[in-house]
Amino acid sequence: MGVLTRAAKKRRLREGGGGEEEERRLDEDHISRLPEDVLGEIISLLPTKEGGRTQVISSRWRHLWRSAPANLDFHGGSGAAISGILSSHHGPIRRFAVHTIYGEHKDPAAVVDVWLRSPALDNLQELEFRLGIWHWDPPPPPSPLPASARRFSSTLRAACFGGCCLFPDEGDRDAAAGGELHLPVLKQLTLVHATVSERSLQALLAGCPVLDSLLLLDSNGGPRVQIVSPSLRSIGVRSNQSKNRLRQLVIEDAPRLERFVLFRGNEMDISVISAPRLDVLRLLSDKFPRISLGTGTCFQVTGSSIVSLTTVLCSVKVLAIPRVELYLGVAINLMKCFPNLEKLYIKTGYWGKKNAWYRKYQDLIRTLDMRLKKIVLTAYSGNKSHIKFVKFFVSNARVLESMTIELEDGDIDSAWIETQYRMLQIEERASRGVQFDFVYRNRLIEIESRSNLRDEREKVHDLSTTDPFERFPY
Amino acid sequence: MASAGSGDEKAAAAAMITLISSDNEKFEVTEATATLSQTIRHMIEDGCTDGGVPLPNVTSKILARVIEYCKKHATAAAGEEGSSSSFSDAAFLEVDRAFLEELEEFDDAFLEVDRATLFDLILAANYLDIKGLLNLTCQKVADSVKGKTPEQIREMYNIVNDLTPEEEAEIRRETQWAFE
Repeated sequence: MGVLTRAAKKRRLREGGGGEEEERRLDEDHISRLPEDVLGEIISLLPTKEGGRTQVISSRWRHLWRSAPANLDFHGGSGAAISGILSSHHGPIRRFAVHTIYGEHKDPAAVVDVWLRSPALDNLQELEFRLGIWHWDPPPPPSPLPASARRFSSTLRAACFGGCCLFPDEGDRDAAAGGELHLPVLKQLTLVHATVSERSLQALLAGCPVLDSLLLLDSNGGPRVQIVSPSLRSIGVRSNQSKNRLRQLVIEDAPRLERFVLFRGNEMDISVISAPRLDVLRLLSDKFPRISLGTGTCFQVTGSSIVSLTTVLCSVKVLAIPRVELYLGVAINLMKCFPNLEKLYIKTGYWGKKNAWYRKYQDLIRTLDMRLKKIVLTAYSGNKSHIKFVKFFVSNARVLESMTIELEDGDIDSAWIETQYRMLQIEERASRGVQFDFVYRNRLIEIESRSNLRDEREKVHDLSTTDPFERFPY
Repeated sequence: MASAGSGDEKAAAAAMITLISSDNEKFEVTEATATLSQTIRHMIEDGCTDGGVPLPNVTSKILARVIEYCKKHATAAAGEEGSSSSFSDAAFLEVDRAFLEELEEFDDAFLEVDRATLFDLILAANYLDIKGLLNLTCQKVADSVKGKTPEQIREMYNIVNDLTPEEEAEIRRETQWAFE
């Protein structure tokens, strides 16, 4: 077959004579010097299919995959294949993720239930599944969380439950009687298309004492949920179209909450009763949500609603608003609501509004002490209201370090930029050291990143960064 | 250990350990650096490091690199021990992040070695039980084979395929899901 055996190779090397040592270093099968457990570690770092394929490399590799700690990630793939893998792998499996299960399975919950009983999954650390129920019309009642998922409760560190109902038997009875989940080491939780009622979420949070981050996407268990958690550092929410969708989220008591991210979807109201450390915030648009702070005070970033300065979100340092009409009133309101803002990411609609009431607030503007260091503004078109919006920051933000203006359409040439510089009065800028850039932004990047919840997960679960919006799209 | 105060840390820093490579070269390192290796940590705990720690499996060339890694990461480990809780102060996190970035740059540069050295480092990290170094080097190998077919992996690492065509066909049949 043209393949040299090891002995033949050595012989060839010996005959080679000079530079033998050099040749040995280059030609040797270095990877086979590694002990099996180390090779197993390396295999477990590969994607699922690639890990399985290593079995045909050589006789030594043949058995490595079966006992290497595995992360099994299935994007699609037949149910029979998954069953086959679960029966041939000896474990331990650290992560088991099946993305969407529907079509070939009449009862996806029962299929998942059987998989999760596999001994190879003992001590599972990460579990992810989404039962695909929402394509059927009329949709069947949501399946309960597969009972076998509970057997990992003492080892699960990250979980994503999709398409199921958390506590199906609540309602008539107390949630406690439905058998609460206790997940003592769970750090990350994603619930997607899940039936989550106010009471079931409360019970779930109470059972997760070290939970860092919660991503709640397209919940359909009722109009309102309330967050009480001493451990949560990050929350992300998206509301969908369904009849029974979530309409109001109340952050009742979240002493450690640093990050709140609202994703594109339907409007909803957010109430923040107590979140003293909240410093990263993403809103949906300037109109939604209506955010209320403390008791009774409501504000919208736009419009004529003026916030009293006692209720401002002093702790917020990083803010992203991906859909906002740009005009001066918005800029002023933003600075009043978020006086300690350091980074602002904003995406505009094209037209903006009149800026007539500037004079009225001149005195107020003088009293603002802006901390803004970075502004990124997307879909700038350079019309009058956009210019006024930007000019406000150019002439008032004294410690601004960078301002990036991103254009999505049209041609920019040096003459256009020069005109913009003049209209924005860059010469008279308040911060001498500011870096000012006009750049193009490719819209496709935004569309691509929407697949498979990657973007949502990163923004909510990745707590290694202080600013989750640094990578586009924010 | 986790609650060691600054006084204790100073005392630990002052204690020196001698490591002896396979080619008899001696390396003096602080206890904080040496104990990144679980193997050495256990020897210290058992009180058998007087007169130096012989490491017959590690050459002086590789040991020097391993010590370089441990020195850099010992500071990081000290920081982690100081805050045994996973909830750290915001200010602490800020400092921590800058340091982690620096550490990441160090690790990237550290991995710029030829293949033989990389595998020597893995063997040393495994023998000395230095988890961070083992993870780092294994990840480098995993990255190098990621996206490659079994044939390409064999070629890349000069692995001799000693399976008969029948055996190989059998594995492919059993593991069909991986080849779809």
